[in-house]
Amino acid sequence: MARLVILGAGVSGHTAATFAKHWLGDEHEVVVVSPNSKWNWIPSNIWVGVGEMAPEDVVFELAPVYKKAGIDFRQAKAVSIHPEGKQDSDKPFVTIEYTDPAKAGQTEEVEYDYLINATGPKLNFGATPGLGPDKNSLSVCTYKHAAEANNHLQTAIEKMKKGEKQKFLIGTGHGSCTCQGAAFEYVFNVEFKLRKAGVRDKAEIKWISNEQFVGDFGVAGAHIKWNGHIISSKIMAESLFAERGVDWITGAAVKEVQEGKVKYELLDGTEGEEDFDFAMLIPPFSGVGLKAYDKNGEDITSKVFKPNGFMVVDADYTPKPFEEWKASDWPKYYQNPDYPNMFAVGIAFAPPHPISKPAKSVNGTPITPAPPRTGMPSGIIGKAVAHSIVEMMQGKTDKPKHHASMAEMGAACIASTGKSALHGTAAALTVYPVVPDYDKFPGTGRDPEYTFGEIGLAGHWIKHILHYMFMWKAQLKPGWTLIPE
Amino acid sequence: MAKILTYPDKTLLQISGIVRDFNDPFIKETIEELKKTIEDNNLKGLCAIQIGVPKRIIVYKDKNNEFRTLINPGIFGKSSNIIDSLESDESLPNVKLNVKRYDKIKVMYQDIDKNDRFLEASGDEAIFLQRKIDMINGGYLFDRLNKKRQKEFFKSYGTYGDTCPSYFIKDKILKALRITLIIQAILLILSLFLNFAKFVVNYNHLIFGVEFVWVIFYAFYAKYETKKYKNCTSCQGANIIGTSGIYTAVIILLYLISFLLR
Repeated sequence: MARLVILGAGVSGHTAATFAKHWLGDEHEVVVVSPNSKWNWIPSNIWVGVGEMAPEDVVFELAPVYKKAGIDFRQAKAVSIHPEGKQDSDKPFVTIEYTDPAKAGQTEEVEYDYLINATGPKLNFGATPGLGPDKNSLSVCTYKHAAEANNHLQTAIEKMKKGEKQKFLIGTGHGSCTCQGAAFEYVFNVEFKLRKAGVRDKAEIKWISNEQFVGDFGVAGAHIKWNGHIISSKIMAESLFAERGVDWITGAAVKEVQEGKVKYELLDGTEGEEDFDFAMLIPPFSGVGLKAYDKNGEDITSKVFKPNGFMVVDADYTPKPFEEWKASDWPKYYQNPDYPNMFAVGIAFAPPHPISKPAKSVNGTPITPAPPRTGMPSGIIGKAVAHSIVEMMQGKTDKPKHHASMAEMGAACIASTGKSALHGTAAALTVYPVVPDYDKFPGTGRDPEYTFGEIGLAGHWIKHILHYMFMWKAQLKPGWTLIPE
Repeated sequence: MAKILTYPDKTLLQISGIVRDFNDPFIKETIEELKKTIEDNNLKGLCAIQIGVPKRIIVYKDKNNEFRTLINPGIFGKSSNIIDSLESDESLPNVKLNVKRYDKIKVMYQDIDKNDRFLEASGDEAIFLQRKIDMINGGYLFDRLNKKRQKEFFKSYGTYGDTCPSYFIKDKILKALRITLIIQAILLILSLFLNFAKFVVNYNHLIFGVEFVWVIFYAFYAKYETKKYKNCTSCQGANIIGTSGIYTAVIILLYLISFLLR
């Protein structure tokens, strides 16, 4: 019996774990290590952040689901990886520290035959002084953060009902942030909520982002059908901002968040300040800080992980200028080149470079969105890696066979811009491929034939249906394997 | 001198690609061609897509009447002031449209040597650059109009020739069916109280049959129309199936109601 250990139970880790166990049956063991007791459908956190969903609507307890599936669940955080084992044993293992209240603080060595690193990101609030819910700004990155953001939003609405004006600043809190899409959804959901509450006239709403243009979303923009022809998401996003009366600043690296004030630097090196009463700023992401050690206990973290803390996989990390970026730079199998039984999926793998055209301010400050890895690509990658590992565990192959390069896959994104059964809206976008392939599709790097974009009520319904569908799938309810990633 | 493409030429209806290879002699040739075309036509400026080159290049004459070349330009800053601007464009001849623009913008671009450059523009220059940056991103002047004014525009100036019309005949077929179904539903309610409306119950087989054939006709015609305008939305097939399904369900529901009322 071989053992597959999966670190993390987010979208990609949970997908990998559940499919691996489904395919392996009782012949082999699947262990999941996650510091969180609950699974969170993160895309719906936006609705928690505006009070349209309760936190419990977007989470469920992992332990009973894993028990039913026959997966060994350990509520603990991974501390270090030992891919060569230790002096008296060749068996690779990970060191974990329990967060389960019953065993809190206890450490354990968990041996593995195959390892999937799906730890997701560390929300790196420390990268910008004053950023984060513990300091001067809010976040919607976790359901707890989103619930807190909603409390502040309700307070602001109460103030506006009494005639007080409020300024909302929503966007990214650092020059290298990703997840602009989540902030984009939040700014328009807040705007919608304020209109619904009848206090829109008392609110000034501003978008601040490290994108070079509105509608970049960290993927060099998407292409959508608009008035019967294809346009850049820039036009769609600008129109939406104008229609909803939301002002915007792009090409901005937030340098500091003070109480009620944000300081930022723009691409041309100029500096600016924005006052706020309510600020929701997405933090930059980094790896969770896992360490790696060789057989002798020597630190090999820099060999296994990139400086940003994400794991090295089968990508081409050779530094090269934007003009030389290729689709083939992106990983296909997500396998570590030095330790072939170790893989990284979702946000945990180190991308070779951004997707958007990189930019620096004239002072040298990088102002470039990091590549996003949203639910759909993360799920697809998790499943493909699980499939490869299962076949390797079953002895069918000694190499991974299932590939899922982001430069070969498309992704659909539904960005909510207001939640209501009759008056809600959402922008539905598809991009193919996620990472532009400039050789295959000269010019934009994307295939216009597989481009679709629409904004309207139907998009909102789809987003809402997807919420229930993915919650159903993740809880392994009947027919879960039939629901696509 | 290159030919300036005009609406509804489908070459214009695409997004220009980022210039990546600055050593490509074609880039320099395109810039020279743009300059010549601007001079020969006595224009303020042009973007490459207007002469059929889908690359993010804008060439124009600045305040000092000197040529300025913007490669891969993007607007990253602007004032909060939005102004009404009455605009025309070489690619939309004989058309003047009132659109909203920012009165001041900040643009980041690259020069021919690949250096990052910045410029602040205001007044006519800002309006010109906003229009041209829209065009390299696939946007026409009419994309900046609200839905109502776009409808008026398309009625006055026609649609996209052989690329993608704004109004499909299939939509009209569907609208007629929708009106019929609404009338049928109203008559069904009235039939509870008024004798003249009862014919809708008596003839439900016939009405149902006609409506059902109508949906089938819609599905086939819509498929034909989608094929004819290949450039139109890629999920059209799914839309047709979904729409046909919804209307079939409504017809069946109305049939069941009238069956129960007999």
